[in-house]
Amino acid sequence: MYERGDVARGFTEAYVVLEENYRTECEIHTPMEPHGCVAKWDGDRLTIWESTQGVYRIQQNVANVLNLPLSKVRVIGHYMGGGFGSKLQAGKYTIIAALLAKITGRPVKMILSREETYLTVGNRPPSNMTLKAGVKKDGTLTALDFTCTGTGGAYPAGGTSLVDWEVRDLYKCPNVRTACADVYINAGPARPFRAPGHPEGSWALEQMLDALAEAIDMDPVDLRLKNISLVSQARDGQPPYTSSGFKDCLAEGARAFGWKQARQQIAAAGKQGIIRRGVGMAGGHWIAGGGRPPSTIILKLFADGSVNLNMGASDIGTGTKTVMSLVVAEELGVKPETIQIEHADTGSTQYATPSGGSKTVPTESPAVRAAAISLKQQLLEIAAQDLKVDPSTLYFSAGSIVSRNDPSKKINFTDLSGLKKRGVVVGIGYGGPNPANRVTNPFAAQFCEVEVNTATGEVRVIRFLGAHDSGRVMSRLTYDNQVFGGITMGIGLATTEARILDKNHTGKMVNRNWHDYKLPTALDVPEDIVSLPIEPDDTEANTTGAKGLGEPVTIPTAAAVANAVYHATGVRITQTPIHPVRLCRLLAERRKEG
Amino acid sequence: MVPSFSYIQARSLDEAIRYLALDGARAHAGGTDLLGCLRDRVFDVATVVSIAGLKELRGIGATPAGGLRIGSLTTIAEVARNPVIRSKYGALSMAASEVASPQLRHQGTIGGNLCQKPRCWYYRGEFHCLRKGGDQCYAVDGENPYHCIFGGDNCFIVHPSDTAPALVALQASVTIAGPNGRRTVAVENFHIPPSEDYTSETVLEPAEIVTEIVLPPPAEGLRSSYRKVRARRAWDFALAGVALAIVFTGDQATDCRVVLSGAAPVPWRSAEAEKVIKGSRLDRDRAAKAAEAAVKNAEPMEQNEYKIPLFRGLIEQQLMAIA
Repeated sequence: MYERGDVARGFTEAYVVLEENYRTECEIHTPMEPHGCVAKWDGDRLTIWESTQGVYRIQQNVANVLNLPLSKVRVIGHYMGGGFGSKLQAGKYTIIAALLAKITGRPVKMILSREETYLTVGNRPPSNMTLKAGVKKDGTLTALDFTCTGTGGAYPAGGTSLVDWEVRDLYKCPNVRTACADVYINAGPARPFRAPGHPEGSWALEQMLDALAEAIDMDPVDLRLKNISLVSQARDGQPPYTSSGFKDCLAEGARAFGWKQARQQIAAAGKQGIIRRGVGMAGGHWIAGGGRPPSTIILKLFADGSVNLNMGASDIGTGTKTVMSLVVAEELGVKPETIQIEHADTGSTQYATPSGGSKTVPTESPAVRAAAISLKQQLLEIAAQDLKVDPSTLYFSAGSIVSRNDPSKKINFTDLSGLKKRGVVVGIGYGGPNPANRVTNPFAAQFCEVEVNTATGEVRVIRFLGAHDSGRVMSRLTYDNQVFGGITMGIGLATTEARILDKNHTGKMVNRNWHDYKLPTALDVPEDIVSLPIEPDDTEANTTGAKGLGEPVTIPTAAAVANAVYHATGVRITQTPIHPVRLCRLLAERRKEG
Repeated sequence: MVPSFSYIQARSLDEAIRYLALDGARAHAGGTDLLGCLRDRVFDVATVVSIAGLKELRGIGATPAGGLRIGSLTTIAEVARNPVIRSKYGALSMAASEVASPQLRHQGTIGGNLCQKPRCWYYRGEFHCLRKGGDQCYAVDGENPYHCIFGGDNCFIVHPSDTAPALVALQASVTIAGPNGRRTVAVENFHIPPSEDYTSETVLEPAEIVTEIVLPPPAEGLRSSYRKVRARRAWDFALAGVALAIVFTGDQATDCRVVLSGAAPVPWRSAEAEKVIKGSRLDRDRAAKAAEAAVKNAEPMEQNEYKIPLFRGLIEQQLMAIA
């Protein structure tokens, strides 16, 4: 239960008040690589190779359950084929494999079958939502009243986690009330799933904003621009954001997409013919994405000038290793290809929190920079001795150290006597505290165009644009990949994916395979997806200016598709997924109503 | 887990038939359906008899009568891209192109496509349903959005094949070889509705194999098409599909077949729609009437009522496109 202001009074101040029920279906994470591990004992020491988002979390889980010292449990992650939040903890299979390996004295491998992963290792829970909203004639939001029922299956947590956050925090509104209730059902557990709660809440809020905009005859982008907040309203003390590119996401995104022209063209074409086009958009932000301590990074410079970066965090396929190499390369002035990364191994890399919450880059990259700076300071000391000058007069230049006063006094890293003698210079970096009384969140606006066959209910997503403020772009290639992947996943929520339980007989999941549980295919995703980075200069958030990206990219997608389908057909689809099973019936009902 | 079984690579059709007569024997052609059925424990198997090496069952060629013979081991992809099929039997080419995904089309065979097992999730899942020897069809009051609206009787599957409706529309037949020699059956009569026998999908007797599909020479003025609507745009079975084969004399539709997929436990010929079309000038009004007639006798369940407007819209669109 959350409340601020006076919701009842807010509704009396409104020019239009609308209320609608919304539902999002349960989604299964479905990473390409199923959950599993190998466990092996050497005497009293246990080694586990696990497909995980965080090796130290697994180490902690296993040590707790088996009552072992942390030092006796080594967990190795290395490569993994996706997790999306479902691999943040050890599984029962991890413990079972460890026990079986102990009993048999042999390594034991346990990989869940696809069917097993569909039942036991988490989901994005279904959400039944109601949203009532009031708006003034000029577009000012006056009140939001939101309720949600969800379920973490037969388990006590996560059924409605963060589903109300977008309603509470995204748009400026003085009077807000939300109430969420978890109910128990005989089904598998909830687990965090790429931006937990956010795409669900966005499905309700962003469709409601679309409806309000229409009711007051205002452009949907303009309505959102009218209600931007520069403080986090739902947090105590309403702290300001370290940066907010939300306004630019909306305005620049609309411009790059050709929003106004597209709406004009579609209006000019009129509602004729069986195939109709529509455009839709939605905004969003992500509750986390600012990073936080702890993080410890060790950077080693070897005698030949090559660099080893030692980081406990997992690269879950998002390009973490690429980004960290670029930070080292930028700070040390070395080529990225000279950097080798050791990561995700509790036996040989440093403590890190699991890669989740879109916090890995903002958490680890400042510690990486700090480690590089620590390394540089030591190199300066060594160089000052070798060159017999004061260290404060030296600066770095492409793999060498030069005197500001006398450019002839110059030494390459590889010639430093201290480095040659010791074989290695080690820099250590720690993640610093976050700025006080500030919030660091990423922002997003997405735009899309769809084509609907009004006779059959078939929807084709023609093009998408994602305008994202995730702070500084650390690597354009991996950045764009996150945008494309997030939009793809959001299209899945919008148009194809749903867990189906046999509700009248057994409660079993009937579609627990890749044919019946319909992930979007390459043909369901448009070829034309534009990634438009919005890069506000965020010097407060951390020393790299990066904010999280992996989750905000999937938050507004489904709502944007629903809004586009409404624009094309005049049918408001409040329940996912939008495919012919649902849309064809709604279109037929609408024709009947005339 | 796939159960353990013995595996025999037949060197001749006779040998294949001999081994298939063993208890618990199953034929393996492309294997795309067989492996899934074994993994899902849809049926028990003791012996898998591979017919994949039988060259005489492959390939596409003309018949003396001027029609076309397609060996049952010809892949769906070969059928889809064959230029003769594309020009003379458009519905079959289109249907083959709409099957599953490129990987499955390259592995799956046309014979296997006709003989595939239903995709009903109760049948494929861990439910002891009527078709698997149990005592009830779970779909009747269960999760039935993808189930049939015609011909359900006691089991409410839809036939999963795309090529079968096209072949019925094109008046094709299959040649079957078995312990008692060869026989020919029209594709229209190849599949068995649950009202006749809810435990089998085809007329194949034990140890019988489909060896070829024979298409008659196309009638003068024949136009044919197939279109499929699905929940996602690839790798999916039909929510609703329609194969049309219409013989035009001038602008008159003198003969026609309308065969639906995703509608019934067998490829479903709509006599009602055909009656409206036959002998008419196929204009918008007539197309709408035919589409209406096609769904008039549908018996939807709780979750598949959408198929009525879907088929109506689809059939009308396809009739207008072909006319």
